[in-house]
Amino acid sequence: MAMNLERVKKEGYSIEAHERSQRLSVVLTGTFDMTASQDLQKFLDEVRAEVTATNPQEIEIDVSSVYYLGSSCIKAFVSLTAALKAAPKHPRIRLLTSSRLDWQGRTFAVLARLAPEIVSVERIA
Amino acid sequence: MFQSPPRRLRFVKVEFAPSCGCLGSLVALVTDFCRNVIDDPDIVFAFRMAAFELTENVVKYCSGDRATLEISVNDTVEGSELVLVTENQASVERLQDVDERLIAGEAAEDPVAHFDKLVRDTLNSPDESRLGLGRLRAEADLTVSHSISNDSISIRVRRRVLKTSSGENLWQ
Repeated sequence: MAMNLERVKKEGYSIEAHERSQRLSVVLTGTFDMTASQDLQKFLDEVRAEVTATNPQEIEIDVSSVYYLGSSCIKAFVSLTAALKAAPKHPRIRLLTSSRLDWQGRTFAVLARLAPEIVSVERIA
Repeated sequence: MFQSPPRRLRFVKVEFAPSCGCLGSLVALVTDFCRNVIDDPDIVFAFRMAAFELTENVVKYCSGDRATLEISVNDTVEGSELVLVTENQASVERLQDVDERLIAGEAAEDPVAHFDKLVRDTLNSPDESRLGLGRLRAEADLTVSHSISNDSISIRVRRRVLKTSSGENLWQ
């Protein structure tokens, strides 16, 4: 499978991805306020392109180490979700949230309401 | 040795020049204030989120070179409440747009359904998310209100807080 997702590491946040056995895994860490939104939007646009190129069955997005997600970054996730929902072969999206950070469940639930057929939000330890 | 009389922390007000560089400091100030008066991680996070969203709006849309942010604990007939207020100047077009969106948000009977509509609408808004104010009610259970005077807008978010970390009522 192709893999063109370059790791982003900036002061305050990082984004990285790896791909194996029909699963694309993305891990976000840190604080995603307005200063992170361009990087996140660009990365998720590349995720969308990667999905189109490789057709993974599942995208796993681990946000359990995200300490804040601003509205401009929510928009980036909304755009990805809507694009994948509209794609002919859409993969499942599993969002992994922290059981210690209740706000994550509330924030990411909006994606499950937007596309319940492809998005699930799960709590991990 | 001088000893100051015991005083409870009641408010902090800051005037600042809007820029991305001040975002972290202002959010930290609001978060620290909340931690000092309330031992409830949910409420502290709600105001942290509000500080981020309101300050980001000021940074993006303020037309003047100064804005203010105030976090306070106020007494009401129903108990105490935490209140966060930002005030800034903005263009006539921006004030009108925000006024319409805030009126719609404040009037929405179901804040989650209203936020879901904003989420669908954001797909047609290439440059802005327009989600920040809506999520404060939907995700953080905050009451949002606003007022406009001349070229300035004041946005106020609040939430009732009944108990301190020691379990006592605030300000009795």
